[in-house]
Amino acid sequence: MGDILIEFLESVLTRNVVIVSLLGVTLVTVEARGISRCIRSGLKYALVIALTSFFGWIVQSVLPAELDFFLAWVFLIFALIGIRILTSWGELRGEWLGLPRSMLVLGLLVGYPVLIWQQGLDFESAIIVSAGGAIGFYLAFVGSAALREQIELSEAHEILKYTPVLLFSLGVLSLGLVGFRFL
Amino acid sequence: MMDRTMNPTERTVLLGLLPLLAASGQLSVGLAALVSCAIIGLLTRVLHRATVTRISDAMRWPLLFAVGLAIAFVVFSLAGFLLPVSERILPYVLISGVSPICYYGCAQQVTAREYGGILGRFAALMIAFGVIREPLGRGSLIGFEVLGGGDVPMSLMSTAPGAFVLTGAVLVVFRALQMKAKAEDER
Repeated sequence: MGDILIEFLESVLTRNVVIVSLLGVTLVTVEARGISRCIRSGLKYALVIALTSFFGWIVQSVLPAELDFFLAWVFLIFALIGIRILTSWGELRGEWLGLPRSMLVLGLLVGYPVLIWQQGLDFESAIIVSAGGAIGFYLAFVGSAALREQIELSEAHEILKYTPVLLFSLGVLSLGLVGFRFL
Repeated sequence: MMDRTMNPTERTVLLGLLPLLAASGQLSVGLAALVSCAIIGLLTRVLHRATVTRISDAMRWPLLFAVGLAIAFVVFSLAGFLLPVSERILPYVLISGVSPICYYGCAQQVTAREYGGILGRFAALMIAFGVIREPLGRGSLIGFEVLGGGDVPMSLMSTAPGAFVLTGAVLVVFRALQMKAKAEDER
């Protein structure tokens, strides 16, 4: 298997941004509701994730090492631009627990470029990992929406319903993906 | 729209889900994330109160995030020097600087007492998770070996699957306690 394919599969599966790296877990836990809606909105999130992480990598690669401490703010700026794009597309509007709903995606949009920065990737790998992260997010987002629909239909006890079952299920999925580490 | 049965612990878990799951795999990283979140939470609450009538929402939130990231960056840098931390999960100290729990004190109608309660619960959960996950998953606690020579750590506990299952279990326990209390009240 080629190195590029391995890197792509790793970023989709064994370093999945939601289920293994945990960056998108808040967004998925709160926002993944309704498969048909999530199939469309997941594409918007995935595109923004790919763009913010790739542009974050570009800035990180041209910025001198002495200015590395600025990177977190650079990633924040790209994340805020990404949020602006998402809200203009009708996502993340309104409030969640009294906070701007857009805050749900902030950890993912700032965190993924941080993890890419820590890996010290070259241009080709940066494109592959950015795209892989976005696709991995999309799969986890739609999968979680499907899980949640099943949870809502199930006759499980009220104690287990919704978030606990979703977390247990993500844990089992995570166990499955971590099992692919041999790749 | 949230769960119909959400209790304060569930609210705390959802607000701090990212640092709780990702940083608690090692107690020292969890403590660094906790310190970072607490400082950001208190400082941004003060800043929010001071600027709420002077700066529009569109300007204020990015400003608060920038301050939060600055504090998280300082804690992230210090933790790397001062504590025995895994380089794999150390970046989560920086990333936790933008998690919702840091800014919940700025939310509308959240009193200082309520936010203090949320931060207290978050601290208790983070420490409990670290104390459970690090010894089981890595065989150590803040750099000290706790498992015997022949014991193999259950590495899944310090990674994502263990975090998900433990968090789910905590939510189930607190929901059961809440339902029991409710049933006793009704009697």
